Order: sequence, then C-alpha cells, then structure tokens
Amino acid sequence: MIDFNNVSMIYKSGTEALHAVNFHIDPGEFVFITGKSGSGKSTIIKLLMREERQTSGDIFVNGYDLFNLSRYDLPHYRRRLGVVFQDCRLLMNKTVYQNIEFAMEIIGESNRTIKQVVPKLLHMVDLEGKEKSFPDELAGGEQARVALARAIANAPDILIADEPTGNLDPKTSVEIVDLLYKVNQLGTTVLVVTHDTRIVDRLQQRVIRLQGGKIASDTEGSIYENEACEY
Amino acid sequence: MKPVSIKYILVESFNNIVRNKVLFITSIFTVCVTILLMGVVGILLMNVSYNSDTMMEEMLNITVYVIPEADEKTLNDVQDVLINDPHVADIKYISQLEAYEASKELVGEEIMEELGHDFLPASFIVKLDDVTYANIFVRKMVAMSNIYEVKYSSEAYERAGSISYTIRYVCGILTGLLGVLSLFLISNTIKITVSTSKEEVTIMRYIGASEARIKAPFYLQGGFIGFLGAIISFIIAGFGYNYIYTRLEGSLSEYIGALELVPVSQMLLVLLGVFMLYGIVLGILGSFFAIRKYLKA
Ligand SMILES: Nc1ncnc2c1ncn2[C@@H]1O[C@H](COP(=O)(O)OP(=O)(O)OP(=O)(O)O)[C@@H](O)[C@H]1O
Ligand SMILES: [Mg+2]
Repeated sequence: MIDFNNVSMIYKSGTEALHAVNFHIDPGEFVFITGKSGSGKSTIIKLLMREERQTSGDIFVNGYDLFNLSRYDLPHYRRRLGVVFQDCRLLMNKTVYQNIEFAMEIIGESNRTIKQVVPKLLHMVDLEGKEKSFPDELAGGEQARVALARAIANAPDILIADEPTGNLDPKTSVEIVDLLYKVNQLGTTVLVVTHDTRIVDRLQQRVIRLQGGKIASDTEGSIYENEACEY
Repeated sequence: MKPVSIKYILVESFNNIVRNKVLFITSIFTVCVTILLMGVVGILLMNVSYNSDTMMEEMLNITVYVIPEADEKTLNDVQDVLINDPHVADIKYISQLEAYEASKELVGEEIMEELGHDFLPASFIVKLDDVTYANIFVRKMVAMSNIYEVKYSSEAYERAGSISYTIRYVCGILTGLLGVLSLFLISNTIKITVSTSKEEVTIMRYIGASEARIKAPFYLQGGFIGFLGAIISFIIAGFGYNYIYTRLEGSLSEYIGALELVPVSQMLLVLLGVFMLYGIVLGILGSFFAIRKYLKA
C-alpha cells in the first residue's frame, strides 16, 4: 500500500531531512512514526501528501508513483487519503456539520450521501448535538474529533495524522487515539506521527522511529520501555 | 458540474462577497462607469446610424453629369459602371429633358428656350453606402472620358466622415481605457477574496478537490460583479434614455424634420444585451487574471 524505496529528501535550503529511507506498509496496518524534533517525521507526511517531491528514491502509494504523479491525477490520489493535522485546520466560519459536509461536497458527493453520512460520522466521533457549533466554540479534543470525522468522511484508504494529540491533555489524547484505532479496525490503514509515548505504549502497534532522517528502528510494539527518558 | 456543487459554489461565492463588501461595491461601481460611458457613446452612434438614411439623402448625394453630346450607348456605359460599383447604393437617372423641365420652373421658360433642349447635360444622382468612399468614387468618375462634371458637397462628406470617425475613436479609446481599469479592479477584488479564502483553498487541495471546483466560485464572483454592474448601468441608461427621448422627440422634429430617435423599447433591448455581455465578460476576464496569478496549484 505504501512503499518508500531509498527515499531521500533534501530541501531547497540544503537540509537533508530524509536519507535513504525504506519501509513498507501493508493495507490495514496501524503504524506510528516517532522521533525527535527535526528527525523528518513531517517530511514523510509532506511527501505522502505530495506537498513536496522526494529528491531521490521511489514512493508508491495505492499504485500511484508519487514522483511522476500528474497534475490531473493529484486530486484523485488525494481523495484516497484522509489527513488530520495537528492544528486541525478546520474552517472557522463553518459549523461542525458544514466542515464535514464541505469535504464531501468538494469531491462531488451527492446531497443524499452527505445527509446520510455526516450524522453517522458525528455519532462515531461522539459529537452529536454539536453539529451547529463553530470550531472556536469547541474544546481542543472536540476540534480534533471534527478533524478526524472530516478526514474519514470520504472513506479514505489511508488515514494520516500528524501529531493528532499534540495540544491535548492525556485523557483526551487517549480518546482520540482510541478513535484512530477504531478507524483502523474498520479496515483503514492508519499512519500516526507522534511524540506522545503514552499513546504509543497504549496501542502496542508497529513503530517506525526516525533519527536524523534515517530509520533508527522499525518494530512491533512499544519501544519506549528502555528509552522513555529520551522525551 | 452537479446541481449540489452548484448550490455550494453559490453559497461560497455569496459568503466571499459578504466578507469583502466594500471592495465588491467599488468594483461594481467601476464596471458601471465603464459600461455607462460605453452606453452613452453607443446610444449616440445608434441614433446616428438610425438616421443615416435620412442624413445621406440630405447631404450625401453625388451628381454625375454626362457630356451633353452623349448618345444612348455612352449613357448605358456610364450606368453600367455605376451599377457595377459595390459602394453605390442607389442611382437615379435624370434625362436632358427632365433637367430642362426642372430648370424651366426655376429660371423661366424664355431663357431656357433660348438655350435649347439639349443645353443641359443628362445626369445620374448617386447615393453611396460608405461616406469614406466618396473621394475615391469621385476621382474614378472624373477620370472617365464621357463625364462632364461630378458635383458633390465634399465638405458634408468629409464632415460626416470625420464626425463618425471621431466618435468611434474616442469611444473606442475611452471604453478600452475604462475596460482596463475595470479589469484591474475586478481582478484586485478577486485577488483579495482569493487571499481571504487561502485556508479553504489549502484544505480543498488537501482533500482532493479538482482545480475547476476550487476556481469556480471565484469566476462566479467576477461574473457576478460584471452582471450587477451591467444591471445597474442598464437601469440608469434606460431611464436616462427614456427621459431624453420624451424630452427631445417633439422638439427635434420641429427643428430638423427628418431626424428621429431610436424608439425606447428597441434601444433598451440592445442596451440590455450589450451591457450584460460586456459586464459578464469583463468580470470573468478579471477573475481569470487574478486566479492565474494568485491561485497557482
Ligand atoms: N520547508 C522546509 N524547507 C527547508 N527545510 C525544512 C523544511 N521543512 C523541514 N525542514 C527541515 O527538515 C528537517 C526535518 O523536518 P521535519 O519537519 O520533517 O521534522 P519533524 O520530525 O516533523 O520535527 P517536529 O517533531 O519538530 O515536527 C528539519 O531539519 C527541518 O528544519
Ligand atoms: Mg513535524
């Protein structure tokens, strides 16, 4: 599903953010990407989103060769990804309902489908009764849940989350991670970038740890028992 | 595009307009000024061309005199040349006898009898379809061997020609300049709505909206500016013309009997069509420039 073959990324500034990175993620997997600040985690997401193009190596996602993705194919490729950003990036002038509706409408979903799906999503992320609220009327955890609902609204093949719990207290973080896990259990491949050792420990899933733009370890289960002091 | 999308695009466009009210009003205003100026000139030109038949008759006749000793064949040759000229709209033949009869009334029978029936030449009164062609036509006729004289009021020709040229040039330049100004203002307005919609656009791109879907609301806003500008100009120009028409209709015919104004209903129809087309094209073009520059993928 996701293939990184010898991927290196050197930004225009000359910073080498990734160096010969190799990994493979199968459909249905749940993977954490961790590492210190500046180790290249967000760069991997930017490459997956095709915000940036790798300097060398190959990336294949869902059968698309990302380096050679055409302008025409880019929107179609992105429709198969759902993304949750750390800062949520909700539209402040739209209600909870409208934020989700918007995501579905712009890719051409029918009115009927939208009306059926949005309430289900709101139920899933436990936001019933908040559909008419604006994002700035919501708590951080609620915003994160709206962002999550929006990311999965179009039933993506892959859900990507960059620091989804970055600003949240431990209890709320756990709720979000449990939701991510639930989405994964429903069949979506989930990729989570995080600093948060608690949530990594909690789920006991595959962890790719980056260090200085290289993969330091790629293991099943938590890696933090031995090096928790690092964070 | 699906109906559901159209609904959302409309809502988005409307929200953008509300968010940038002042700018929208300013650009609608410039579109109005542009269209109205073009409208004034257009109304003038329409009335000129509406009366051009009358005016032609009054001042744009050219009389071609054939030599008095011309025979039937010569006359036919001259007539053929005239008929075959593509710019000749109308020919009227006046024989020697007719000229004689006409003069008799003017100067008295005795004098004319003295001079004889074939003293006056036969002539063709020619009407051209194009004022600017007059000089060429006259030169061509004078060069023919059997032509005695060509008479035309060259001053009237030149004046008519130069007036309509001036109107056309001034109007063209003004409309052009104002058009560029409107384009600039519309595109500036759209540029600002694009920048206030940066977040939406970024999110739309991440989610996988097509470029057409992303750009549609901005085109719609530009088109809407043009449309509103056109409507307002139409109302102003329509009332204005109606006022002038009712004011001038009576007095015009008193002074210049043959002149007539284009009827109000006919004028309104033309104004509506032209204003709409111009406004909407202007709006969409303005959006196009802004989008091309500020909404790069
Ligand atoms: N747009 C950019 N231009 C130049 N250099 C960049 C750019 N984005 C990131 N970098 C550099 O690339 C390296 C990796 O950055 P990246 O954002 O991937 O780190 P990260 O692991 O996500 O860090 P954090 O945990 O702080 O978010 C850093 O040295 C960073 O300065
Ligand atoms: Mg980062």
